[in-house]
Amino acid sequence: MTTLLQVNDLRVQFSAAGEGLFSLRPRKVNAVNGASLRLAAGETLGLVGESGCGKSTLARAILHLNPVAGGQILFDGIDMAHGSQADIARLRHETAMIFQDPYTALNPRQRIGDILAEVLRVQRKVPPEQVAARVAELLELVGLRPELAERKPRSLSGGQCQRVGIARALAIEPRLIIADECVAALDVSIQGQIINLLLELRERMNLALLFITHDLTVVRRLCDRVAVMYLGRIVEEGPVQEVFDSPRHPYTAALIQSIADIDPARRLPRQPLPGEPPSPLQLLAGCAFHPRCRHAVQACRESPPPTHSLGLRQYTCIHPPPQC
Amino acid sequence: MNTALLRVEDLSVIAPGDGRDIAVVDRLSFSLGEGEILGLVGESGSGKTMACRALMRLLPSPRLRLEGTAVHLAGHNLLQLDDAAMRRMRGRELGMIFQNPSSHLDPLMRIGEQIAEGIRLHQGASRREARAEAIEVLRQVGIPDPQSRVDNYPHEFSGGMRQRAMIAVALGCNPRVLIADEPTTALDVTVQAQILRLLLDLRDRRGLSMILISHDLGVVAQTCDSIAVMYAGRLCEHGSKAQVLARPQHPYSAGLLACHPAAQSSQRLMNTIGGQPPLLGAMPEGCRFGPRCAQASAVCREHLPELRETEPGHRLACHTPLLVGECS
Repeated sequence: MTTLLQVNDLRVQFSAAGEGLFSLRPRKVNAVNGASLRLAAGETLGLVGESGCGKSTLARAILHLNPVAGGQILFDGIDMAHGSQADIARLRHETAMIFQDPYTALNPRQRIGDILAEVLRVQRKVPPEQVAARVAELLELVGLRPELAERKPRSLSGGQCQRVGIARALAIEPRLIIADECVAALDVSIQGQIINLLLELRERMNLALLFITHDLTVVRRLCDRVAVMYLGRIVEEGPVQEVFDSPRHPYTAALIQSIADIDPARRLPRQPLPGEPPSPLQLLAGCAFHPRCRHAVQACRESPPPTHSLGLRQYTCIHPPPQC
Repeated sequence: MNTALLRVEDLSVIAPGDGRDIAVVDRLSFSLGEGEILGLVGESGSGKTMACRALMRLLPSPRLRLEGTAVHLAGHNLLQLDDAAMRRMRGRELGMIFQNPSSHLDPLMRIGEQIAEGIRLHQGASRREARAEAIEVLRQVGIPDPQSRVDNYPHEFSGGMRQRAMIAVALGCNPRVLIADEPTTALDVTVQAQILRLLLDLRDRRGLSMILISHDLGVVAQTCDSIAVMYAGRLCEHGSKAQVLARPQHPYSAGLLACHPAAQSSQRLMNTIGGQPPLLGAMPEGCRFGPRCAQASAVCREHLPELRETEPGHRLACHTPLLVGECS
């Protein structure tokens, strides 16, 4: 499989309200802090982590929707982080995003047909006279009746709106789709329908899918590989089955143990992982996870953890526990 | 766990519609034992939250009407109490915590005062006693350094700590029954595990009974003793956790279980329940789940199935239940 997307040591910073007298001392939020990942055509990568760890910022930076402070984003071998206008235009022409809240992602004043037609016109995907036919085709592709093109988003259910969101992404005929928590707002029975739709479309169109979620059970079902993010950094990455069966990073292990399983025999841990992620405003010396880590030793507090490779897997930890 | 602490009989919430009334919650009945945790599951719009608001007699709109035979709690029938008496029951007998702690804590009031307010009101404690009690409750819900944290405002707490603070506000009044409405939905998985562990510990230490509303069967499987499944305002199945999870008899319960991403399955595609829940104004004739049910027969389209006991402790509202061991 050829690599479609490669992200190397990506950094994204935002300026925050300043500190001190009259807030004069500027502060930076290190939202993404040296994240690396890669994605091949036809592959699904799950990006998981707790809220505030930088998943969405990373995704938006890949699509050039956020400023990048450092690192590389190679799409088809071209560095988009420092790309020309023409490169960015090409990126926009071949990538698409699906958002979490299907209602707010659609313009409430536009009819569904117009929402889709706008993409086709702006990206010049089909000649103007074929736009209407292509809209109907897209709606059918995501399992909606073409008549819905006349309706406005408010008269559709959440699941239907999310299908429109997917149709809008497909209108671009993308090679890469980034889905940011695209099933989190939906009910379980509808969630399954949307995930199945993504699976089918991926097979049919050889799509690369970056699937951002906080729900590990969905990742296990949907993804080929998983990347676990903590405070702006990827701490473990590898094939889903391997990572779930024998996690090497203590944070990955804690996340997997925290899953509320429907099998009551698989109990929640007696002592769950304590604390909450620290603020990205003040990055800690050493490993960002050490204050919550049971296995932390002195070295974890002092120097940044190295990245180890283990088969197809990579993890970033100084002192990995023998078996999590 | 055998004595029923809370007994709900035929509780309905009626929304007046054009021409005919719509039952948003339709003749709900169940009982809750001492120290029991009941999981109330269903999809959004199934009436879970409305049912619990009805128990508290806190309906979100004055147009909604409460009907029912009785809600027995601590020797009272809540439906017959006047407003002043009901106000005394809220908090002291029935506590409630919500999904989003940020919007249910007063941002301009110190955490300690919010806890102390209930203690002073319900237990007649002095300011100083209430403050000491508030610190104690904060310690019980696992807030580190409660002596200084008691004077913090909600914005100084993180998301997980705010949920702990809201639990502390409810516990301050020392209720017998705690209604937890999606208490972990807004939280991250590791924090969710902490809060669920806290709720279980509180049950063990204080003998607190709980109704836990959740859309996540995983959360319910990990915490509850019994499970009640709601669909479109009606209870479709109610039984012990083991019965409902291992041998669901209602096609909807079985479908929900099969849809869960963690469900064991050899195929890659997920199981789904076709179609969508009915809209309030357009309830189908007969069984409300009928149009989405693979088992439905002619009788399902004509007659609404009533809740009946199929085996001791297991109630079911279905004309065509799944046989034990069969799963759709």
